[in-house]
Amino acid sequence: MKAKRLIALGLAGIMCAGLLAGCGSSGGDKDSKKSGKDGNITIRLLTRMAGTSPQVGIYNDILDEFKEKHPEVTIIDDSQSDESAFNNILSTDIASGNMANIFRIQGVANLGEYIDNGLLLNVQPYLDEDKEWGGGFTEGALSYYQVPGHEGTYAVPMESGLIGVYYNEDLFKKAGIDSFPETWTELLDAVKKLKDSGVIPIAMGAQTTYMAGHLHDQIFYKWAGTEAAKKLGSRDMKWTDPEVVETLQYVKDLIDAGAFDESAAGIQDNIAMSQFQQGEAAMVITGPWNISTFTDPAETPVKDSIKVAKFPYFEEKPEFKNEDMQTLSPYMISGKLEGEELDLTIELVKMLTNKDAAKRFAEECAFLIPRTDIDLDESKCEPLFIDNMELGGTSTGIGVDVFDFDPLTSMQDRTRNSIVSMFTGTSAEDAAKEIQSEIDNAE
Amino acid sequence: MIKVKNNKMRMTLALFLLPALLIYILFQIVPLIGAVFFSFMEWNGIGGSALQFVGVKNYIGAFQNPDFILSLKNMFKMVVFSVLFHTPIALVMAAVINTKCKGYRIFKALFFVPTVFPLTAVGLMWYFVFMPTGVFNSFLKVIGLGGVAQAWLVNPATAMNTIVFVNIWAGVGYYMVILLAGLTTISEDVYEAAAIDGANKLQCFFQITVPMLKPTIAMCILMDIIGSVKVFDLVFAMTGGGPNGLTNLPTTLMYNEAFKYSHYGLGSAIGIIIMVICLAGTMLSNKLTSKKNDE
Repeated sequence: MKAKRLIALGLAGIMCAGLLAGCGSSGGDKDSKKSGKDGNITIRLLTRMAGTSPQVGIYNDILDEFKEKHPEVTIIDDSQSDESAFNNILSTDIASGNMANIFRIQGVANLGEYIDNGLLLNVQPYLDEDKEWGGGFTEGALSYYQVPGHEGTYAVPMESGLIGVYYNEDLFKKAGIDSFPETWTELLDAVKKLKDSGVIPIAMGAQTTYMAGHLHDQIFYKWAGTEAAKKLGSRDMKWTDPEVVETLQYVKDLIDAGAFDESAAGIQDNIAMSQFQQGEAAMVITGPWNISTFTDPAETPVKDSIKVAKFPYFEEKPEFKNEDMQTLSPYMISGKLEGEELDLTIELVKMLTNKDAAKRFAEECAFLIPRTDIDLDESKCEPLFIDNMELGGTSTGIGVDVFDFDPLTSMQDRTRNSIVSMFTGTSAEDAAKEIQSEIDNAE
Repeated sequence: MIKVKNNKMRMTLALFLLPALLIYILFQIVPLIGAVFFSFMEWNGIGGSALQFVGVKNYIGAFQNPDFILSLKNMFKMVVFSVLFHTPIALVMAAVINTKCKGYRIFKALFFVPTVFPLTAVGLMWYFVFMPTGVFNSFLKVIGLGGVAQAWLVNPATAMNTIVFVNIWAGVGYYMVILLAGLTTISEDVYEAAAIDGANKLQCFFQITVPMLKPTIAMCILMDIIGSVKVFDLVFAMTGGGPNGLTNLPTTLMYNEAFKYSHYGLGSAIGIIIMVICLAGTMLSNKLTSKKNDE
């Protein structure tokens, strides 16, 4: 009996000890992150490079190459292709101050706060130190990560490219349109003709709100210019200003003109993309990340008809003809790294973004790292990718998402949700008021 | 209540309780205290940055926020309709299955299946049913009601109602099983005595089954209220709180505020409000039940 009690007491004790050990493991993680299980270094990555796309394959190849070179280093890749899953991990990291070695934060308006809290490394000294690597990035891409009030550059750009209009040339010709519309008036005319020919003029899956957001971004930059987005962020402009309301009204005009599927508000981006890839829709607004899909005959039966163009400009605003939306994604490095761990992390970032990597990404999967020194073999590149690169090279002003310059983190959802609400009947004025009220309430 | 006089026995019991108590304290009480603490603070969500005490500002901010008021209305709708439909439908289903009619085992399993699936999977399945190009609209077109077909989860007039419907569908089986267990406790003798007195099936149901199941029904309603207040995954999977926040519940809004917008103070305040609502619902339901039992 006594033995039984002793065993029972022992088991209960072990359970408690196990529980406490389990709870204590998070504290131990910080140390293990630095020194690894066997006293080795661990590098954790939190990027969007996950999934089965060709660029992820190259990214993984480079990680494997690094592992071979440094077998003592443990690589933990927490990268997520799903935006929501990615944001959850990033929020937790930021809240705990336990950042991945290499990560990315969307937007630039909040970077100041992160810099002040020591979360971001100033990469400028490393760019200056290694001229062959650091000197190859485009000025525009680097300057995007130079934060006002803070000296230095706080990210290494790893992806860029024009977010433009991909269109099906055959469907345009069948509708009696000889060339892609250059102006807004021509676009409205093309929408009417395409609609009459029985196809969806512009593929749109507004339930995945970024698609509607990107449409407005395009209109905004062509009507108000890329600098206006910064003015909205610095509160020198309001969403209810007539000039901004007009940009929303143009979205509404497209909806009213029947530019989108009647069900656009209720369908997701993958369905909209599929409509375009299957030749049911004539245009789609997207970025270079989809080029590898558009050039794959298995995924896009109409691949030979697909061309790319800039979003049409407004005749009244010729000065903004080349103010374009581009994608720009970074690798950021934790500001808390030091010693060998920092050196190895920098080495890995260099391997992921040097000119050899850039050449491979560009030629094999139409993925553009913003470098000026890529020795491209154009015969190996997809024509669509070359066209995208050439068009992107003519941009006089570059903007990513309009909310990128806004210090309010909720503006991504607020702006996109209000824009989507116009697909279900909300007026441009009401959408503008709704967005502005988010700012007013926060202030 | 068992009285333990032996000190050694007390020690043994305490040690056996300790793991569960530690888990409860670490994963329930500590986060709860943390949430109360953060609800009085303003914090930008960056580790190491300063916390600022703002008193009840976050609570006032929550009630001044139209999105929160809308989410409360949605929650109220969810609770009312869930309570109105879950238990009555489940009771009828349980009563029918309890008659041990032909194929009752198959029906029992079929009705319980939605409960086995995670609500996220249920939400996704119904999302595909109700999407504009989904099965439901196709069915409406086939039977000549194409005019009624619409984007059910996008149209502001139908989005929340559609989610409420799915919540009812997903939960009925669970309450049916609980009520079925309750039904087995009612002695057959009572029904036989009623039959001798000339009572028909309907009278038996309303005069015997329902009154004798009152404690079980009360428990179902209580669980339904708490469960409906806490629904998160269903909305998250079906609409993500959209279109334009119209189907947000306090739970999804809390998630957005805290984890998407880094408003940890406001998010925590909403969490505490949800807890207070749950507590109030529980106490009210307990009070009503004990009152009836006293009567």
